[in-house]
Amino acid sequence: MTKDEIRSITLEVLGQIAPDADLDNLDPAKSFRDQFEFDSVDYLNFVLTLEKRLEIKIPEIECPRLASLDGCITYLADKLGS
Amino acid sequence: MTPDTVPPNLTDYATTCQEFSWQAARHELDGLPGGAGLNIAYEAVDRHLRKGQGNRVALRCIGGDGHSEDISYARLSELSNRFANVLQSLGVEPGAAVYALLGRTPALFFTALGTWKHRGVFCSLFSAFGPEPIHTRLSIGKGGVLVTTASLYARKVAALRDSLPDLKHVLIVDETDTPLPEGTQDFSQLLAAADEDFAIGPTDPTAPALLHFTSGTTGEPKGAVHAHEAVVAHHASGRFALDLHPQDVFWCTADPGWVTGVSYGVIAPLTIGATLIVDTADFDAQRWLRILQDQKVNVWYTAPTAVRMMMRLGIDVLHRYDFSSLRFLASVGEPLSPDAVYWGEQAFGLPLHDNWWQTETGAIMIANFRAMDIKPGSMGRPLPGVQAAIVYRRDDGGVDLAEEANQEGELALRPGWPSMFREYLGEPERYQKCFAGGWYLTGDLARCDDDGFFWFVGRADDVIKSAGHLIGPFEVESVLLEHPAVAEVGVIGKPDPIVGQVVKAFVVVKPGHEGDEMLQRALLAHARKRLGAAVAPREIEFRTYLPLTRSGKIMRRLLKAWELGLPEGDTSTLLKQD
Repeated sequence: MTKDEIRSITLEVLGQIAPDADLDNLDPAKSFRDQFEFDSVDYLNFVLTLEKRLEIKIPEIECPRLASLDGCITYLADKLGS
Repeated sequence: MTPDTVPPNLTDYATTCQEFSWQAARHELDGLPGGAGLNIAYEAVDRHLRKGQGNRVALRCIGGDGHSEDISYARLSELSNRFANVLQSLGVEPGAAVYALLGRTPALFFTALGTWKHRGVFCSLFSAFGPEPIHTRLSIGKGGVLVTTASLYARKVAALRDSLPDLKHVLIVDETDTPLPEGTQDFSQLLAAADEDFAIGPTDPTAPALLHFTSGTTGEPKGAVHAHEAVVAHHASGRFALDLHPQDVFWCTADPGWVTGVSYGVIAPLTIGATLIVDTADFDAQRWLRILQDQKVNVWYTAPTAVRMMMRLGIDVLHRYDFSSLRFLASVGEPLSPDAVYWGEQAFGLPLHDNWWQTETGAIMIANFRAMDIKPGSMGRPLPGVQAAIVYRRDDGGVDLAEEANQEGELALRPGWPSMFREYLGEPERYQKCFAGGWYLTGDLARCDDDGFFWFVGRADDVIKSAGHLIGPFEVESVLLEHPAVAEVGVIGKPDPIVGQVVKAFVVVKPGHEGDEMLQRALLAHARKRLGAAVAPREIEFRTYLPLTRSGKIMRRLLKAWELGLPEGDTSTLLKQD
């Protein structure tokens, strides 16, 4: 899977969980929580949906790496061997 | 002192219950000098200064970057004096409501304590609420003062300010140099300009001090009012149920927007003279473990949702930390499942003690105590001074008591404890309905076993408990109904292994609209913007009809049966609309 594909899947899942967020103007380096309403339950749902969608297991201890879009792309590319 | 050398405050349950009286508990506190009454802020802060304890650390505030700042009892006294003077200079009358819309920040403490010193009524709103719940709660309480941040104000209040005629003063707490929004004042500047001395006026112990909003199945949120003398119950329950001692480092993780965050995140531990951890950042499981370790927390009061999120980390991760300072762990918000109690033992070497209370009771009523064997899954036994029973409402307005142990019924409390709510603001009839046959009826279904331990069974109404937040289905349904595509909506709590219940909405669309993924997202977005993420539904399901009673009310019981695949039960009053 390419990084572009990972990026678009991540954005799609974000859009499912928090459709009120303005994802077009997302700063990829900043944490989601600092940019739109995204509470800890959203965060958990986000991780669980990514797990299902990408058929991977994300250990809780690694979840902080998924706090921003850049973080997600780096972590998931690593995980998927992209 | 090491944790096991600190003796429990409550050692002999039966004897303490027998000897306890609320009058005697009141004498554990000082009262205002000269017999001028009882004021929460004096008991929480000023009295420690008179005993030469002013230099002790009251608040240890931890920023998002891990940097911490200590605030002593003396400094807390001074800053709350300043805020009381600010209220006076703004012409705010004693008895008026002062609102805070803040996270866990030092300003929240100055605002709360200063409001009580001024003899105002403090009301803290959950900062994750969207504009709609905030507007409703400010309107009901006729809030004249609001302390908040520039960002929260811009996102959640500014657009509705014109429809809040009572809101005269908005004070902005800000860490950054952003310009002040129009129609607001700078909190820090006002504090700096105010006098650092303030003499608390005579305070009637029964005068209103706290306003907490809670939700019912129907209608608007209810504003439960508590009096200054609630502090007697905060202090006593902090000692008995949380085993708080003056030398303790105490961490209550509850948000100040809910009753736990005020009763035990502010009042109780300060009256005891403990050091409070104030973590300003959002939940992060590993950060929390670091705080428990690095701050040498002795007593930790948290919630089942946080516990279950931490359980996901795996026990190996927890064993990398040093929790040797911990002495007592407690939990509230939803029932704590036995596996979470056992997890506490594995993770920290200590079990988690569940306890039970609600907004209306103002303080912990039923608890598993330190010096008592825990029954995992049970909420524990009534506190000294609290009489609890299982009852059944009769049609004539009276109640029957359960005749045997283990019978399920409604949990009831005998009125008389000092933190009992005194009214639902402006709704005397709704208040009266909570009492029958000389008991306060809690709306929770429970049973009491042969040993006198209470077990939670469920809610008697349709109120939803999600991640520790009480959510009224009506408030969510009203907002969804405002969307042009929605014809009918019913909202329920769907059981969830982590957060207890998630808010789920069943929606019937209007003709000409399609119940597809696009609409589902549009409705989610609409609800999240108006209600905030914590209150909005996490799931929406479209249906061609909803079960209604003959009088046209949504039957949420049947929606739950749909969700869980249960038999629908008695449907004789059901009117199906195909």
